Amino acid sequence: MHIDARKLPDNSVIDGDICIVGAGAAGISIALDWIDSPHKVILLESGGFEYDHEVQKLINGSTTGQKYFPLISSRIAAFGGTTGHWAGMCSPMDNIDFMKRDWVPHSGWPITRQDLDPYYERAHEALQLGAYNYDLAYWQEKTPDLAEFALDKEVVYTKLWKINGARFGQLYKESIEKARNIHLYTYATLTNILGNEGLSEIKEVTIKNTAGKTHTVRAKHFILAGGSIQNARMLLASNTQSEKGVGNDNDNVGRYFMEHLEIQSAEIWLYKPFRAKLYSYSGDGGVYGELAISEKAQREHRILNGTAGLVPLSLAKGQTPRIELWQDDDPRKSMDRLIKNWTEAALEAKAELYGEDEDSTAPKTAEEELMELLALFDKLSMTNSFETQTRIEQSPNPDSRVTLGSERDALGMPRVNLHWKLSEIDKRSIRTIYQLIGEQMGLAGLGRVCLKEFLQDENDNTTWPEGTNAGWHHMGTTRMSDDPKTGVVDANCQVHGISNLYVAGAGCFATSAAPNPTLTLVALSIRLSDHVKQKMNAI
Amino acid sequence: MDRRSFVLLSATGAVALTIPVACSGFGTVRYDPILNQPQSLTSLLTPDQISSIGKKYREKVPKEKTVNAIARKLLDDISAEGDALIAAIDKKIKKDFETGNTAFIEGWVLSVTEARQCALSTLATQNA
Repeated sequence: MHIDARKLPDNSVIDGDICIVGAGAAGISIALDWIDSPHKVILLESGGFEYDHEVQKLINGSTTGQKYFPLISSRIAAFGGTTGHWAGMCSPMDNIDFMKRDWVPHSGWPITRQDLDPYYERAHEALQLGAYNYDLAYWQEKTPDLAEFALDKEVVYTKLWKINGARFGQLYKESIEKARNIHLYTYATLTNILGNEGLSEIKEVTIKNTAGKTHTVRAKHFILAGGSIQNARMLLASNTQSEKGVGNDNDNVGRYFMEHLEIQSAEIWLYKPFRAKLYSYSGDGGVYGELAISEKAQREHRILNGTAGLVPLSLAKGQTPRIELWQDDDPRKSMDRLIKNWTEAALEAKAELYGEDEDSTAPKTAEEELMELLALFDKLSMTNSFETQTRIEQSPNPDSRVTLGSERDALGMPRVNLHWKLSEIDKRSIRTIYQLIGEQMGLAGLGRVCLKEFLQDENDNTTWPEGTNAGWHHMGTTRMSDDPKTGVVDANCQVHGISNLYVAGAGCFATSAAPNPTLTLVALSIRLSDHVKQKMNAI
Repeated sequence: MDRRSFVLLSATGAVALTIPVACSGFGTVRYDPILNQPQSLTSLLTPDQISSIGKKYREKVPKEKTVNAIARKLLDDISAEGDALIAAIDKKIKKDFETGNTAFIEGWVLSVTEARQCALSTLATQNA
């Protein structure tokens, strides 16, 4: 059922068994898992069902360090969260991503890929991704023209993504509203977390909204699922009982913020045109490949895990770096600007290669435009020159962090500052990835690789070009570790030292791997859901 | 054709001659001028790019600043001409990539052999 918290009498008290704070991919995935259970689930959403700029302003903050997107438009504060406009790219992390790597400071998860595998499968259902199968041969059997580059897989292989931009807000609104035991409260923004004396157990949270109402939610278990930055903010700002905030005895909350570096890095020049359908973004239902570096080569060269996406050079040369396009406070306007740029770049490339279409100016629906754009991507993918876009994990860095600022939002919550900081290994790894791809392209006799200017000086691992993009992927602010001194949550996503407080989402990632985080964060959330169920059944 | 145009090299320069392939004198290296053309790169790079890579290679590897020095390195175990020379160089390039004997110049990931060819090409142009 759905309740608009603005319409409740002021100072209402809401009771439940479980309180999930945030109705994005993580929160909704957990709530769905509890439908028809005997437990009363309170699902809190800061916004409503539609985009509301007044609510969106609540997540604004400042940024320092490496240039970043405006925080206000890097997430969506509404039911469904940022799935409201994501590209739907999903791929599981690799085995090595969970391991302690002596060349990657602060690496290592307390769980393995095998621990997550059953949950990846369940996450596939929530994300409506179809078969949990990332074996290229399986997909080539279904779509024979998914040719891959014939490279030595011991060094460079093709890693697969599945694509489905599942809009959780639309997909699951009805199921959540109809579920008798799920009580969704919109316009319910958490402003404080209160525990017992000693803060070993959470008793209640305070919620507020832009209508000026304040309410209290009491539950047996609390799950923070508001996104990595907002989760850290909630913990840090809840400092009425502990000056450092909740779960922050060891000063780890907000630290180790990670993003995916998504950056134009090299050009691949082939001797013969190659039909790169496999490496071309094909929209919902498709599979998509990027060149990836084997675990063996990562170990040998002591580099991070990263991949190279291919964009036909004719298309890439008209594309503006996303970090420049996405600077509006309103995410919808930034998205429009991005799509416009991609469309114009594709049309320019098409005109250059094939001449103008007579009906290119005819009015089209948004869906027709998207389909045309994807068809154009496909057409342009038959070429002998590509620009590569790196997609790489960021080395965990304690100085890359979210802190509270002095400014407050309309509900009195301190706003955050994000200091995004990169490390030398990040840049060295990108360079090495392309040197390895270059060697393999040469060895296979396919062509040669040329790295972009910013990577050419092997002694410079600190400067980054203006167009250094991120992926809008916020990770690591409440990282997972068995040791409370090095992490905020344990292997089950429970906040260390607090028996009934958990964090769901990419904030729990100890390292960020190369793939987009949604599949893994949903898998991890479902795993957390199981853990809470076990704990409740044990009572 | 049983005779080809070769280049006789010495410390003082290069002179184009038409002589048999077999000769090789002390202090000089005679080679098929086809070696000046990095066949593996000519379809991908412009002559200016090849020239620029060649210059950079010579800066990076000062020991290989003369035609003689570079040609010796290129021909260390090769005595062939024409297509056979091209095939032998191709093999050498492949081996370079296999063994990681690569050069990273102006962003390009190249085999050392083809980088040397670029260097040789710039010297041959200078000396022509």
